[in-house]
Amino acid sequence: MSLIEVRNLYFRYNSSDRAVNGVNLDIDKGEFVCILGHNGSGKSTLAKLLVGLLEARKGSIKIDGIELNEDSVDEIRKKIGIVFQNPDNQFVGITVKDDIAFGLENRKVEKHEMEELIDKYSTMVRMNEFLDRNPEDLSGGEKQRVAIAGILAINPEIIIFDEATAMLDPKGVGEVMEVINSLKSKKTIISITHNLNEAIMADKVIVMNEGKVVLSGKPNEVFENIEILKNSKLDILDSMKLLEKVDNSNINLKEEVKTALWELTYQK
Amino acid sequence: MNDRIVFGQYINKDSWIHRLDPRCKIITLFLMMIGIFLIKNIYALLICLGFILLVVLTTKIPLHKFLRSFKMIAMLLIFTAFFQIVFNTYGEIVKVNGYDLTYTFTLTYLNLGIGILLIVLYFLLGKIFRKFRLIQFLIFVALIFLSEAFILIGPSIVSYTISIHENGLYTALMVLLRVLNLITLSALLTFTTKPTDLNGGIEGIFKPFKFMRKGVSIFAMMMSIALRFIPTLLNETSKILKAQASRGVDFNDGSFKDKVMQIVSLLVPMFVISYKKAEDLANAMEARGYIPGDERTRIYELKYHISDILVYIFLVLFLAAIIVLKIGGIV
Repeated sequence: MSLIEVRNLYFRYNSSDRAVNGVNLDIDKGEFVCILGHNGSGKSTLAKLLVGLLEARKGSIKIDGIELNEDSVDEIRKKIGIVFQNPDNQFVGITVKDDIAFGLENRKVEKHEMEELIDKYSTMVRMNEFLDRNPEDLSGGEKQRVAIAGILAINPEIIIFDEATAMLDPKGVGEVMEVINSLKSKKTIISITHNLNEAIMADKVIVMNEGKVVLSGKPNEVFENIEILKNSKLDILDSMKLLEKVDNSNINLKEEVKTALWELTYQK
Repeated sequence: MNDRIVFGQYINKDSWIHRLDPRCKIITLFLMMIGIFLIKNIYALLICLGFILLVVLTTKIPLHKFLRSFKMIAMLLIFTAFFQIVFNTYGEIVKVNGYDLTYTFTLTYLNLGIGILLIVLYFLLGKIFRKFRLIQFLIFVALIFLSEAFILIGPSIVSYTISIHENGLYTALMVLLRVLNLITLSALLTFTTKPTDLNGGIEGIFKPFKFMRKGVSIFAMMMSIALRFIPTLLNETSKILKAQASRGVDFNDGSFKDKVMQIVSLLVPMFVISYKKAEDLANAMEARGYIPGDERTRIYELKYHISDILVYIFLVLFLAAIIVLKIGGIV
């Protein structure tokens, strides 16, 4: 049995045409899954459905064997944490310490235990020296690391990164990606992005377009379908563009060169 | 990022008042205020004020900060005192050295002119000296009255008499002293307590009352989020101001109609941003397990220390003294 089982999931917003149209998903424990899609492909909606922020019109979500519904949503939120895109809008506390404590306070963790957890996880994301700082004094990357620490402190089995690096500068992206990579194989990670570079290191890549899963599989399997990726309005990598040009032209390249180009694609 | 916006009035110093438990400070302030309202004796009020000022000295906060908080309501106080003195006609007329404090003012055409001239002068002066506007205003008012009392040349328009009565003087003084007491007390609280601690204190006070706990915890969360987002929203405001200014909106000049349009051009994006932020924040809070009104543990637990208990003992003594003196008819 998979850790996350999504069956035939439908959702539609009242005011916009963004939607999820019949998604099926299976994510195993400890997997690093990347959901790729352009803006409006339904990938963020899917994330919100998974944590119970939105209610599906049809279909079912099962997490760790528990079916997500109104009664089980509190139970499920203990198993699943989400880091959102905007670093500023998810910072609840007045200081870094307050913010990491927020989730723990909600779960009625005792004070001394909270102090230990805050210490442990702030050190893990290298924010332990900033505990008394206010959010205005932090960079976007630092705020996202605080958000990650806040999620880790609750110790969920699954962490969703909903375009967690999209609003950061390159330095911030590097810092946050480093933290995400360090969590690999410790947690089940769902990373939602439109950046193919971030998908390379995933165990499994799921490509979404118009609310449907159009491709799914290992990165190298998925990346071979350049045409579908392009139809999904994703920016393919430079080495893939080159390969495509070669394929469409009369140039006769040796297989070795092609292999080399593919290798370049997966290089990280 | 360098022009840090300090909100609230908290002044960071290290004193015993700063270290007091916020619950203790809030309760003491509140009950002392009620106590002071009960006092109707000027001397007792003076003693209170003296005592509060002594406490103020121990906070290490410079006195001029407290004076600044008086400034905001000085105008109101002066007007109240003025109207009490002039219009309250209860009791005897006050006598100084055997003379009644009764003055006759006459408005002549000449000092009507002088009055208008003085008003014009006041506004002109205001453009040059922006400081001490209140003192300037009072001086000009005094000058107008002086001219009506002494420059009595030419035909008069109207003549009136002001006599100062005991009751008016007494009430004026009492109102003044009472308000000074209250302002100093509340300034003492806000200067020595961080907004977050105030918030935690209010929540802590209502914690024992089960029936209102839900409402209070939601209210406290709202307050702390408001405190958290004030600097963020100010930041956004300055960004929008700059963006609009770069498109040619001039926020400094223009007619009233222009000003309204400028404010609209600021308010609309601010509302949109705030709404978006609120939605994101609500999602983040919900996803992190926040259930409004549910019981939560707190990372900052409030603990009473010996100094808090001493303050409470003082408070009980203070209230007891007022009640005893009240029954005895002294205050």
